[in-house]
Amino acid sequence: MKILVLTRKMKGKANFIYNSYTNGITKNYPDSIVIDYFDLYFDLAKENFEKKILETIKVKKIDIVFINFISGDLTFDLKFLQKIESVSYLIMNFYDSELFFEPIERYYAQCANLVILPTSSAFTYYYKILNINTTSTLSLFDIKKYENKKIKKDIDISFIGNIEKKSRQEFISFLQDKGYKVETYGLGTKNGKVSFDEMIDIFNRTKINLNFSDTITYRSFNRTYNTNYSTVPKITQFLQQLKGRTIEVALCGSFTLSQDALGIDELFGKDEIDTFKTKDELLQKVKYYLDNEDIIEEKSNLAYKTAIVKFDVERKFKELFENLDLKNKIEKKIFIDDAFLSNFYTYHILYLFNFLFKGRFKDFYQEFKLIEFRKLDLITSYYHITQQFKYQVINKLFKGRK
Amino acid sequence: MYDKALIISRYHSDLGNPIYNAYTRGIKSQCEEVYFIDYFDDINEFSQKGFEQKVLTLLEEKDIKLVFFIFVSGDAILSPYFIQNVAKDRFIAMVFWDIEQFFEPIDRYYAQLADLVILTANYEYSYILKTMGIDSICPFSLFDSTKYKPTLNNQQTIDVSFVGEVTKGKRKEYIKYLEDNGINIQTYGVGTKNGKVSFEKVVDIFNSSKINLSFTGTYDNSVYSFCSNINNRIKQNKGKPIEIALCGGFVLSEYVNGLDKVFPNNSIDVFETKEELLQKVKYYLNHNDLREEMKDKSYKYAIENYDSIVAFKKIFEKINSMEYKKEKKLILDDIFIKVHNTFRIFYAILFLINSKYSFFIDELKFILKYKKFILKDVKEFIWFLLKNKFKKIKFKFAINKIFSSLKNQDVVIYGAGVHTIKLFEMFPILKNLNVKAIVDSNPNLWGTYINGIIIISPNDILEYADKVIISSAKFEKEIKSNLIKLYQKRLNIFTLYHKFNYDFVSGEKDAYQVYRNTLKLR
Repeated sequence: MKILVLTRKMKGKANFIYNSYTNGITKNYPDSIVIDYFDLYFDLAKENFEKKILETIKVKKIDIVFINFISGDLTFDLKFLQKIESVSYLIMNFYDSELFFEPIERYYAQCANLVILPTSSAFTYYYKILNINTTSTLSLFDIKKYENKKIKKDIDISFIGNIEKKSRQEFISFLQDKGYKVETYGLGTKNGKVSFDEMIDIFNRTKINLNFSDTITYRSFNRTYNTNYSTVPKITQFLQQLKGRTIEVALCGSFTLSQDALGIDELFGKDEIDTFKTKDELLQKVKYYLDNEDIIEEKSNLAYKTAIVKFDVERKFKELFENLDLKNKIEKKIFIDDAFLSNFYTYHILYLFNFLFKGRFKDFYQEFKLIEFRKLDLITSYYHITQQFKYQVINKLFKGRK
Repeated sequence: MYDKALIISRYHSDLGNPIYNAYTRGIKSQCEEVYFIDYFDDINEFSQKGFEQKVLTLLEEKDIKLVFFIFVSGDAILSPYFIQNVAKDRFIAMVFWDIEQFFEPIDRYYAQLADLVILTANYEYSYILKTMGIDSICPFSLFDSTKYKPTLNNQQTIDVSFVGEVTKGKRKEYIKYLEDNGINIQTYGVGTKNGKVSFEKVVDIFNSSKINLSFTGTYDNSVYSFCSNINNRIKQNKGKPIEIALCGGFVLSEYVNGLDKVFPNNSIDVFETKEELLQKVKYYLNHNDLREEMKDKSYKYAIENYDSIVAFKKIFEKINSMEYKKEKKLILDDIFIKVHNTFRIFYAILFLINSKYSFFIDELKFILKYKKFILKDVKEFIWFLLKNKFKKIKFKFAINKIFSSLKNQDVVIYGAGVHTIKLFEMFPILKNLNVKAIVDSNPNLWGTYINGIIIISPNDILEYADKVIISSAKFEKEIKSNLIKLYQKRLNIFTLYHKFNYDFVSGEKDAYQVYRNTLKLR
């Protein structure tokens, strides 16, 4: 089986879940071809980008195209995805579908033969009701990157993540006010951001690793990733994301006390991790576990044994691909709404101005032909233009940066 | 345990839409005191503010802690802030019809205030609601089984039948395919040669057919400016197979996900293609015993699970085992605000044209507060009202002409319903006719009076007059054809509504509901 993986190649260990998924495929199918589709689009622009991918499928006799979508990304044209599907078996993976299902991913998913999600299985019904073949793999990891160091645990309680979100600060302050020392790392914390290796070290040294599920917030535009959250309906604030942090902690042989979330029981049993709903319950459980370190160890050991099997991307992808029926492709009728088109064209303002500021006028014209004078979200367009101006003009002029 | 409940819904007669009554029946069977408020009527009569006050006063006075909102399909007139207020310290259960179509723009925004959502069709929404932290139960569509009895004679004179709309898409194509292949199929409903039929007739057809076809519900969301096209992909798991089974009929249904959960005992069969349909029709027509066995199983299963009294017993067990949520957070997106405000504009316009100025001002204040609305829909509604007004003038003129031609002559009026009562109010000229009797097929009404005029059986018409005015908008065609069958040319029949395409009763009162119905047919 030959697989073409269209993904983002992350450098180093930053957000390396993309690389984990890619490795999970290439380890099983070494003939697979991996393309960073984001870079390719910037390099070749729309026409040649699509041509290159279709040629690769043809020349390399690709059976499966696996698109590992960047959250909130709208690079792909629906018509092009239909073309890919007509010459291969198309699998799509979406990481933040709780957020982007409605404005983006359900439209793309119509072209897929299989959609895989790291969410709780309940979430797959958003797709299933649209008659889209969908399965929940839960979050998968390159388990070799994690290490169970079996070292002395010298941190009582720790939390790694963005502490500025919702009730996290409130829960942590509550513990601190009650006299517990909580070490925090990440955005908004006194210890600040940590590297991947430092994170593994912290997991290993901590008796109780805290995890919060309240990650979905309504934001406008993330300038770092050019991700437009303003298209996400506010009502999705009710959804809880099933984060992979619990799995990462378990892969380091440590214990997680997690905020309750729908589907958390699909990750681990009650004998492997524990959950809390309220501040009082958190406090009570923290006290209990710190007084009973043998139970922490027992649960950590069980969770570790589960995690190295259940969330090993290599093993899970082997099972997934072996059980695919590549001939079972249902007839596809595509439905489009104005809201999706507006998001799509607005996103391509990013490429339009990138090419313009680089002086690639032919590529600029291609994007212009795509967008023409269609309905755009003006605020997001403004963000894209200013970002590209900053990167392509200001930074180059003054800092000589690429 | 709740011994009192309030139902906020729309009243529908059994002839109009019996499913609403079936749900009310189920709730009444489990609660000692049940109050019912028709929110359409009350908003019309007392304004949104007056309706809300009435509900809150009733809840306080009677100390009601359980409230059912049984929404009209796709209706967004109720204020979510009002529901949030009602929901404080009370258990809220909600029923949505056609959630598959209206979940995204409307229903989910109301559902966030519910302690329990009672689903009527696609079970997948249980999971979707669960992701939002909303509890639900999916008993599928529930009916009053006493209305759907199998007939005792059990004479199956029709090979294959279908009751429903056949104007478009797959249904038309599949039925034609069966006909072209020599299958004797009878169709009833919009776009069929037999036309629309009454509820009693539907029950009779289900009973008299060897094979009853059912097609899954599909949508054309483009008729609603606020629904997404992509949801056209959803197939509705309709209640029709249950209705057929409750009549002891055999069901052959188009496949839809979840149908195996509605009838998990292999008591109905499904088809996916027209070729499969033909093959299965032929097979079942040739296997009477198997068909009988399956329909007996489906009847038993339907009685045990889909009778509203039986099902509400289980629903109440669930309600009684739950605690209502202490905090009911309300999050609204622009789409809901736009749709809700647009519906409020519909009412505001109706208040204005009916000279209810204080109501109009109240609505206007609300509309101006939230500002957003769907301009296209408002324009279309105004255009619809203008056309309706013109139709009404044309209708009045034509009917006056018919009645003038019958001046001083003996006539009977067919239909002892609201249309006939309204007819007397609207056309004083009727006094110039010798209305000898009113005719109705309901034996319970025979011998009673409307405006001092006796109600008689259709069999006795000639004893009173040989001229009949049919006063039923919905069943005009069916009544006419029955009268022709019964009396051949011995009667002079006058119809009022169909040829003018105007129903003055609902056309006046439920203008916006009628408007929405016209959208469906657009």
